[in-house]
Amino acid sequence: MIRSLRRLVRPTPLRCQVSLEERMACGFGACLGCAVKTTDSQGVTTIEGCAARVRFLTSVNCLKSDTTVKKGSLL
Amino acid sequence: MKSDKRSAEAVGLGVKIGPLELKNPVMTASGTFGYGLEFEPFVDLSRLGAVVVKGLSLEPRPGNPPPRIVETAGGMLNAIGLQNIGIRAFIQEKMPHLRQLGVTVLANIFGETIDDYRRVAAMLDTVAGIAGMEVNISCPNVKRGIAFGADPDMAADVTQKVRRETKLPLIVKLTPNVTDITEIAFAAEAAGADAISLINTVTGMSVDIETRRPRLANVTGGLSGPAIKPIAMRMVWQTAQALKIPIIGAGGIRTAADAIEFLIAGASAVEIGTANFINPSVTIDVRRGSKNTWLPPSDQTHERFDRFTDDWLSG
Repeated sequence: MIRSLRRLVRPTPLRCQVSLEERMACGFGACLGCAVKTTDSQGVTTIEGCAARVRFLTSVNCLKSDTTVKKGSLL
Repeated sequence: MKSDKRSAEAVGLGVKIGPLELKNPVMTASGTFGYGLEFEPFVDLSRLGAVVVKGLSLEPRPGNPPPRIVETAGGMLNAIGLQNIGIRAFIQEKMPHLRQLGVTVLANIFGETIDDYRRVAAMLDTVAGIAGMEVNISCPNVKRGIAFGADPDMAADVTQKVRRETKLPLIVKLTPNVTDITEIAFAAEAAGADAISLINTVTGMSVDIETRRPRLANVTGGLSGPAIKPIAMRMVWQTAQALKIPIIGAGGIRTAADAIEFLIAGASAVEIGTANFINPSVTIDVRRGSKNTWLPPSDQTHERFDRFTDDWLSG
C-alpha cells in the first residue's frame, strides 16, 4: 500500500511521509529493535529507528528519484 | 534525592572491580542502553555504577534486516546484528556529552577479526572519560565461523591482544553458548582480564505457525530477560568458584533482590539489560533498593556462600 502511495506521489511535487510499523522493545530509540532500512535521496542506505517513528519520520522524500522502502518493513 | 545520596554514602555501596572503582554495583548491559544519552530523560546517568555502552566496532555497522526482535515467555529474542555508529563517531559525537555529565563510561568493543579488536582497543585507550573496556567475545569469528568466546584459545588470544593495547580496566564478557564456561573464563583470566562479565544472550529461535517462517529475519537470535536468570546464576556461581578475578553478573535482573542473588552467588557487580525496556529507570530503582539491603563486599559474600553450601550439603 505504501509502495502504491509512493508510486502515486512520485511524479508530483508533493512531499510524503510514511510511518512504518515494526515490532518494538524499548519504544524510545535506544534498543534499535524496530530499525528499518531506507535509502535516502542521495542513495545512501540508512537505518531509521524507533525515534524516527515516534516523530513520524522515516520520511520518504518522494520528489527524489531513487528512494526505496524495504519490503520487510511493510508488514 | 539529596538524602538518597547521603544514605548511599553512609551505607557504602562502592565496589572495586580489579583496578576499576565504581560508586555502586549497578551497571547497564551493553546493547540495552544505547550510548547512555538516550536514557537521560529517565536516569541521572552519573548516579549509576557504570554505563556500558552499545558494542563498538571499527567501522559503523547497519545491523540485521528486520524483524530483529520478538517477545518470548519471560524474555525476548534479539538479532539486532551489532548495529553501531562505529568507534570514531562514538568518540567524536557521544563522549563529549558523556564526559560533561560525569558518567562512568565502559566501552563495549568487538571485532570480526582479532586485529579489529586490537585496533578498537588502541583507539579507545587514549580517550578521556573512558573508565574501562568490556570486550564482547560472543560475536562470530568470520574466519573460523564460531564465536571467539566459544573457544578458550581464541578467547585468550583476543584478551591478550587487547590487553597489550591498554592499561585501562579490562572486562571480558562471556557467552553462555558453550559447554563449559569456566574453561573460557579461566583462559581470559590467564590472558590478563581484570574481570569477567557473564552472561551474554542464549541463542534461541521462534517460529510463527501461521506463516511457518521464523519470526526473526536472522532466524536465530539471543534470548534475554528473566527466563535466562537461572542459567546466568548458575554460570556466575561456577565461574566465581573457579576464578580469582571479580565477576560481573548479568541475565534477567529486574529488581534489587535479583541483583543481590547474583552478589550472593559471587558477583561483585551486576549489569541490567532487558529490564530497561520495561522500566527505563530500573537501574536507579535497583540501586535504591540495593542500598537498604546491602551485603559486604563480594569476597566476603563468596566465603559465606561457600560455608552455607558446605553446611547444607553435608547435612
